[in-house]
Amino acid sequence: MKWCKSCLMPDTRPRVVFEDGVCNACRYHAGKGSIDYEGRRRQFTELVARKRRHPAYDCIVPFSGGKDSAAVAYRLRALGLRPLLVTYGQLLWTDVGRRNFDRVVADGFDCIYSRADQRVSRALARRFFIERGHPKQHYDAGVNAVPVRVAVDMGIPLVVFAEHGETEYGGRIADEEARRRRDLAEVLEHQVGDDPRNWAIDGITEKEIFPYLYPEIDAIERVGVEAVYFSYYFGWDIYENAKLMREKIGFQQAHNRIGRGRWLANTVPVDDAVRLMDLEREARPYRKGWWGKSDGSFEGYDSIDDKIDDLDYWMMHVKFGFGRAARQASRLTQYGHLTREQGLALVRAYDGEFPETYINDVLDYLGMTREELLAVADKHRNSEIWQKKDGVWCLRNPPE
Amino acid sequence: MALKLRIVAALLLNEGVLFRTRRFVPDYRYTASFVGIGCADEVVVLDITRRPTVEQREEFWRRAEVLATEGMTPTLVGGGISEMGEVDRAIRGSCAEGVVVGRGATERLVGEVAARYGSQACTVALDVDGEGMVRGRGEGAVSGRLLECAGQAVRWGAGQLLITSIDRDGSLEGYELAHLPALVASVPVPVMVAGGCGNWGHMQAAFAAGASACATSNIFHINESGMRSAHRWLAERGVNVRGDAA
Repeated sequence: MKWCKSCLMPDTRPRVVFEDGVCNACRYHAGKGSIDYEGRRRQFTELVARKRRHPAYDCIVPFSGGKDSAAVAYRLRALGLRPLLVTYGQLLWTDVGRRNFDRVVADGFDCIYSRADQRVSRALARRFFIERGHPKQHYDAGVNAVPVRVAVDMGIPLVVFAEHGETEYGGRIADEEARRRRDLAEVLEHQVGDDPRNWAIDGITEKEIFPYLYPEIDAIERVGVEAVYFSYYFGWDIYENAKLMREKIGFQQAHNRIGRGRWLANTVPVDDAVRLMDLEREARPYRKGWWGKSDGSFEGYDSIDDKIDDLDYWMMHVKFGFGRAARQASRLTQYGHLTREQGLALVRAYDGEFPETYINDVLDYLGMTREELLAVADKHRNSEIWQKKDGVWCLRNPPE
Repeated sequence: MALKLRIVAALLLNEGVLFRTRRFVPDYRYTASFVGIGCADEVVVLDITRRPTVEQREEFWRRAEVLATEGMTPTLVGGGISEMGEVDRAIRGSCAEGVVVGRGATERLVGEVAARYGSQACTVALDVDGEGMVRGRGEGAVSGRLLECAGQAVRWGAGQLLITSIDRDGSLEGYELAHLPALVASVPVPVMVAGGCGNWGHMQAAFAAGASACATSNIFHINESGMRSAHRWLAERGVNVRGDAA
């Protein structure tokens, strides 16, 4: 396991490519200055004009309730477009996520809200957590499929997804076109990681997996649906997105309880870097014992809509050796908001913090006890990455 | 009772690292934790390194041995095998059940493997293009029409054929089945198909077309439970696989 010299991403991130010790996301961000965003903006305007077919909507924006998809919606509206928001409901909405969602929709958007059968969803979450250590595999399928299905059914041939993860955060880039246009095979393989048709076993029927199925290619082509990435045309910075939404709707961040779990032992002073990352610190005084952060991270604005996300990021740490803090620190380092040194301190302090805040809700959703959950997690622990020292799991190659 | 149909994990090693491929070109690496092979009926380990150095070849043998011995699953080893010394190394040294011989397949080599270890230990791999032509490379390599090459390989002593579609490799669009029924009817040995598997339904179709074994490498998450779910999915639909695979 090697860590990027420029950010805090290890080479265990699936598909990431390292060159001279630097990951491909850092290389991309370093070269971003030469991108002609003016030209790309014109391309986007032309694309919208070409795809304008629906009487009311210029495009579909898949909308989770979070800062990134909300920022896309607001920025498109600022360009004079009318997007239709399509939401695929979270497995376990957080209060703060639901509140942000409501505020955006109340601020002047049309939104279609899709909710999959939760009996099936719970069964799949449990199965995928046990089998793959990833309780949201079916969510990944639904959140990708539903907006495209709405596009096909309503005849709105343009879907604007937020960012191309493989470009922005490191991974495999098939070709330059893949940075702009969503590639179906890539989505199925990298984001969903499975064909939902495989899931109809153990009492789950083929009818019940329908919400997770991508529409047939023929139908997509007939309507001429093109799915593109906002990030390609307009650039991408998650921290700026969070600030924009703070300004627009008073976007709220997570407030997790301090004082439980692993991180107590690792508490570091809240340095300037963290303060900068904390949206609400200046806005209002903190309640004692609470802090605007998510479990496993040092910030509280990213992936805060679903209670089960905290477990998902913790499992990422178990499987690949990097957690939510490393993920966020890498992004913010690439944007220039943090130095690598600051990021490293944050990773050391918070990476792998147990998802204590919502664990009881999550255990209830998965139908598991805490002991069962920990046993499943250990089955997914990669021994190439981890070793046990004095009864505690430690990384063989911690970041430095 | 008919023989059980087999689900096979094909593990492709490029310079000793597990890779997925697309049209036979290494695409990107897998993370080791994705691959638990305990639940496959059989494992095929292939070296796909182009012109490997001596060190790279040694690394391949080291990995192959680990997979064959620790995987607790019958294992075939292949990729770049062109002489008996390597066959011995695979079977005696690495504890493989057999070898896969592809571009190195000659009458002499296949015959010798069959004579020394038995036909069941000798799988001949034929890489087929969209026109049903076998594409080979190098001296003595089989190339020509699929049925002719297949018949020839069986006459030489092959106990199984591994038919891989070059065009479908890595596509996840399903196995190439156009030539399969005719092939299965023409040879007396089991046929394993590879290239293009994207879901368990694709395996169902290949078994229905006469395949004895379905190999998959690029299908995501070849982990223990994923393989188990493949068995369950197929068994629930009446396919003669090990439904209770544990």
